[in-house]
Amino acid sequence: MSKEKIALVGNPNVGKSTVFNNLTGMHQRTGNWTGKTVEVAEGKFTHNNNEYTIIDLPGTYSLRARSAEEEVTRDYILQNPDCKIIVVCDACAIERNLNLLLQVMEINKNVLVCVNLLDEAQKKGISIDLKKLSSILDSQVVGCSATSGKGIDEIKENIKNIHPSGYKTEYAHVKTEDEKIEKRLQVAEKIAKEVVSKDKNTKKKKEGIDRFLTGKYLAFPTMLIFLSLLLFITITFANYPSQLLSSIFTKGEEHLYNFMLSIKIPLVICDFVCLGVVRVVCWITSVMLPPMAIFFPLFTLLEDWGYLPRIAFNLDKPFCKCGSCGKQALTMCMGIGCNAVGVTGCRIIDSPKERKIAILTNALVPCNGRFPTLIMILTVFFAGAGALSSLKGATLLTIILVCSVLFTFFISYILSKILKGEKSTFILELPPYRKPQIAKTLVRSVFDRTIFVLLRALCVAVPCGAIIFLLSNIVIGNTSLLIHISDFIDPFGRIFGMDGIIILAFILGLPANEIVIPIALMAYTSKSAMTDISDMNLIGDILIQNGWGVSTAICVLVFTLFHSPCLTTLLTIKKETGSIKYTLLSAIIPTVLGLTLCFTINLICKII
Amino acid sequence: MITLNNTQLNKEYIITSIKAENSLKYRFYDLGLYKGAIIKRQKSSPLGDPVSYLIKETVIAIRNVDAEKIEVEPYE
Repeated sequence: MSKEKIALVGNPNVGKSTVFNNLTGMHQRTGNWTGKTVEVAEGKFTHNNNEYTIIDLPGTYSLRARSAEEEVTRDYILQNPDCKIIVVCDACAIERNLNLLLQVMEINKNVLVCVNLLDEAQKKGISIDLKKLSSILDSQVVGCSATSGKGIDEIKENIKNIHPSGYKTEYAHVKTEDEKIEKRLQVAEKIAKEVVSKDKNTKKKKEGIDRFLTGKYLAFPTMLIFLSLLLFITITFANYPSQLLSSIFTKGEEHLYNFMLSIKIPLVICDFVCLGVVRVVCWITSVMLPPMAIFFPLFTLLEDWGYLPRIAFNLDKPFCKCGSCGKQALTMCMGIGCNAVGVTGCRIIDSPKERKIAILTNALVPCNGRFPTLIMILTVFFAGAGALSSLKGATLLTIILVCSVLFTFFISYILSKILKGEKSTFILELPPYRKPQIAKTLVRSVFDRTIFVLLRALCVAVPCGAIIFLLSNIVIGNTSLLIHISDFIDPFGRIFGMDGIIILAFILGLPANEIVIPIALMAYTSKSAMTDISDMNLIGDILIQNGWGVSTAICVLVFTLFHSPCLTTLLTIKKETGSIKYTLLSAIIPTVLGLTLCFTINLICKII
Repeated sequence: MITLNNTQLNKEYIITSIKAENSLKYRFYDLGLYKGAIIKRQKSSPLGDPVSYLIKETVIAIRNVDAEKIEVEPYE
């Protein structure tokens, strides 16, 4: 049994990940959360008793990498000069793909060429002479239509035949980089001319969809509609599973509690484990898992379909004016799902300066974890419950998101004046619209999301739950430590239109935004453990009894939008920037913005 | 001298030269834009910038400030 490593390389949008998914089935550990590979994904498959490990690398146009994600690919190839490589090419753009193929072969000659998207090429009247290509390059060449699974078996068959190619590049002796590049382009053009034949009579199918999605008057309304729809579906369909998970977990917690008591574990420890730690973990999971398991699969479908580059296309001009680029719009969309994912996604931005701006401002867009807080406040204080409340909620949420976007522009503009660095060159490919593999994408995405949420719940929620339990159960004098601290910071909170309990809830909610309101409710009702209150009217009563008014609601809304990113995001920022300075900045900037706005709103409300 | 950003919609042009600094120039090459390639203006973004162009079956969006650096002439 040989365990060989094979890397998948190719231009973006050629279907590399589709080939990867078809080869590995469910046997993969992906970093591919948003339809765009920004990290290396690994998977396995077995053929004829041989086990292969296959690596899906981010798409790149050239090994002269531009962005952080392209660097991942370049570095992998340079560091593994002996591994076998499958270069996936787009049959409709052979010449451009050959450019990358030739660059790869200059470093590593163990190549299998997979000419993908043959079905699309056929529709355009393009046909490729695979045998001729194979003889020119002295390598195995396989034709594929990965979305329908054609050619995958052939790839598996031919992997054992991958041998060092005898192809000699005619420009190997050329001295200057410039000349080398030009010669390589000429060679690619020559090879393409020999193997590609185009049927001039094939009617050109005009793609009319872009008239709507990037049209002068329709583009922005369409984007808003898509956004609202995404939010509406996420909110509506996440509700029932959340409640279901919540009741399952409550029963489980009860059983665990009784079991622990029955084996004579001290009451204090039982309370600590069950009412403290387990309860927080379960809360986070039941609140976060359903929305994430709906939002990201839908988002991945949009990416696979090809809509996301259009969003970057539409929004590039305003972002450019703020010193950034249209790709930041995409990272913000990812941020709506989860800020940590949005931060990782910033790798698609070429310029380091613009990437930093995108990372630092990502938390200005509310993630799924903040939706429950926002929705609760909107429902109780503004929208009112009722059959239409989901629709109303989604609309108000969209308006709030637009405000987030406007503030992101504002802060990005300021940061672009302060940070040093070059602007990136924004050249974006707009791939043709393709029907996504709906079922496969949904299943894989839901699976990825579940693992992520569970891991996060364990790592972050466990210590968090422990601290909250201790604070609310250690009693000094007559009241718990929690109440003592919140009383102490109450005057500070009042300056910003909130109160001590709210501020403390935000501080304790640093690990996970979902628990901010539950912590506040727990403190207001003087309970020593978080309780699940699903009745909005009851929540409203508790808040109003404790001094909440419309101005409080607005301030909490604003502060929910603009405060420090959660712990997971902060750790991700540290990982992506490698700098403690930027991690701290990413926490300070939104918080200062939030507090400033709250102070102003509070002042205005007091005057009115 | 016509530059790419001044081309007419749906008319074919051939690239005669690229007057850009290396990093931008190589990026153009990576995407198939080089001397002798045939390019056609497709659609502009709703706000006017960037503009999408068709080059050898691929649609690429380029900012006007960058398209200014590509010199073209009409292709018959």
